[in-house]
Amino acid sequence: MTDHDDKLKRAYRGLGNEEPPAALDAAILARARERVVPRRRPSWMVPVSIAAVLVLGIGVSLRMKLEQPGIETSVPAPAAVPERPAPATPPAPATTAPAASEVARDSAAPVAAPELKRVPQKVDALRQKERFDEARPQSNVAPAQAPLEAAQSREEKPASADAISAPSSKAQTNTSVAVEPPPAAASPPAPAAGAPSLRLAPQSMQAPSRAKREAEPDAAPGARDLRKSLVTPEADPVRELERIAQLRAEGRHAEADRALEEFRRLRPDYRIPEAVWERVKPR
Amino acid sequence: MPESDEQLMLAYAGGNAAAFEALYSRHKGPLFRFVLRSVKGRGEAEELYQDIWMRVVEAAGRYAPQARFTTWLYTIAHHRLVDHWRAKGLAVVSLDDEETGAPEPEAAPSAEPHRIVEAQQTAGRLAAALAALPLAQREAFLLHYEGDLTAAEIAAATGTNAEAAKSRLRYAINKLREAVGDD
Repeated sequence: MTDHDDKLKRAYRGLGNEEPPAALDAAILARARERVVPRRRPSWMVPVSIAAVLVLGIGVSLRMKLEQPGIETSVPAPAAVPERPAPATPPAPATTAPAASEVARDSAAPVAAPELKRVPQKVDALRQKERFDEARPQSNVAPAQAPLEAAQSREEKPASADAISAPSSKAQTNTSVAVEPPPAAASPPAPAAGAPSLRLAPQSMQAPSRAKREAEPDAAPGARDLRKSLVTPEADPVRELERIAQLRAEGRHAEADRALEEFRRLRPDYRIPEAVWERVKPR
Repeated sequence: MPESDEQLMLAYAGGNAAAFEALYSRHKGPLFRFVLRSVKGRGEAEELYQDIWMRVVEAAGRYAPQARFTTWLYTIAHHRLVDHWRAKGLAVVSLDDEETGAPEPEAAPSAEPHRIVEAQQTAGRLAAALAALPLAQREAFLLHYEGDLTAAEIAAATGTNAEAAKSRLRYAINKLREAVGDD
C-alpha cells in the first residue's frame, strides 16, 4: 500500500462512518428471523409421520388379505363395454378421443382375449407410424391430427373394408390394418360397441408418440399441472424474462411487474442484459 | 474461533438465525455506506439497503459459496442499484460517461481547531469529487474501499471484465487524489 493510497483512505474515512438506523437493523433482522422459523420442524413430526405410515401400511395389507377371495371371484367388467359410444353416434371431440380410447382399451382387454396375440403386430405398426410421424415435416400439425385420425377411424371402420385403404397416408393404412379386430374378438354382448374401441386401442397404445403426448394433458389436467410446475419458467431465467417481455407486449403490466419482482426475488444476482431489460422494465 | 462469512451464510440457510445476525453486523456498515454514497438521498439509500438485505434473505436457500460472500453480497447490491438507476433513466452502458450533479454542500465548520476544519474541508472536497464521479467509477471505488473487493471481484460483482474494473478503479482513485490535493 502506497502513501498516496493511505492518504486517500484517511481522507475517505473522514467522510464519516454512517451506519443504518437502529430501526432499520431491527426490521431487517426481524424479517431474517421470520424466514428461518418455517424451516424448523417440530420434534413430534417425525415419530408421528412414521406411526402414520405404519398404521396405513398395516391397514392396507390387512384389508388386502381380507378382500383377496372377493378379488379372485370378481368378473372382469364387461358392463363397462356398453357405456362406450356406439359407432353410429357422432364422434367425440378430437382432443378427448385418446383418453376415451385408453379407457376403452383397459376395460376391453380382459374380454377380447385373442387381441393379446396381436400386440406385437400392433407394436410394429405403431413403430412404423411413429417413424413416419417423426419424418413428417409439419411437426406442429401432427399432434392435432392424431386424435383426429382416431375419430376418423372410429367413423370409417364400421362402414366397409374399403375404408381401410381410404386414408391418404401410408401410416394411417398401417395402423388401420393392424388394429382391425378379428371378427371373433368382440364379445357377444356388445359386438358393435366393443369393436370401435378395440380399433382405437392402438392409438392409445402409442405411449411415446407425439399424438399421445399432446393428448394426455387434456385427459389428465393434474398431470399436466405437475409437468408444468416441473418445467416452470423459474428453471430458465431467459425463458422467464421472455415471458415477462411477452406480458409487457400484451399490455399486462401489473402481471409483468409482479413477475419481474418475483424474478428479482428469486434471482437477485442474475444480470439482466440491457436489451432484455428494455423489454421487461417497469412502465 | 470466528466463523467465515460463507460458513455463517450456510448456517443461516440451514436455519440458524443467530448466524445471520453475526453476518449482518459484519457487513451492515460498509454496505450501508456503499449504498448511501451511490445514491443521492438517505431515504432512497435506506430503502435500497433494506431491499438488498431482503434479497439476501430470500436467496439464502440457494446460496452456494462459489466465491467470497462479500462478492456475492455486493453483486446483489450492484444489481439492485442498476435496477434503481435504470428506473431513474440512467443507462448502464453510459455509466462511465455519466456525470452526476454536485453534492450537497457540507455543513459549515464550527469553531474548532484548525486541523479539524482542514480535515473537514478535505472531506468535503472528497465527497464532492466522489459524487461527481461517473457511476461505474464511483461504484468501483466504493466496492474497493467499502466492500474491500479486489479488481477481479469488482469485475465479478458488476459483470464486467477485470481490465475494465481495474481501469475504472484507477480513474476514480486518480480523480479523488486530485480532489484531496494528493498529486
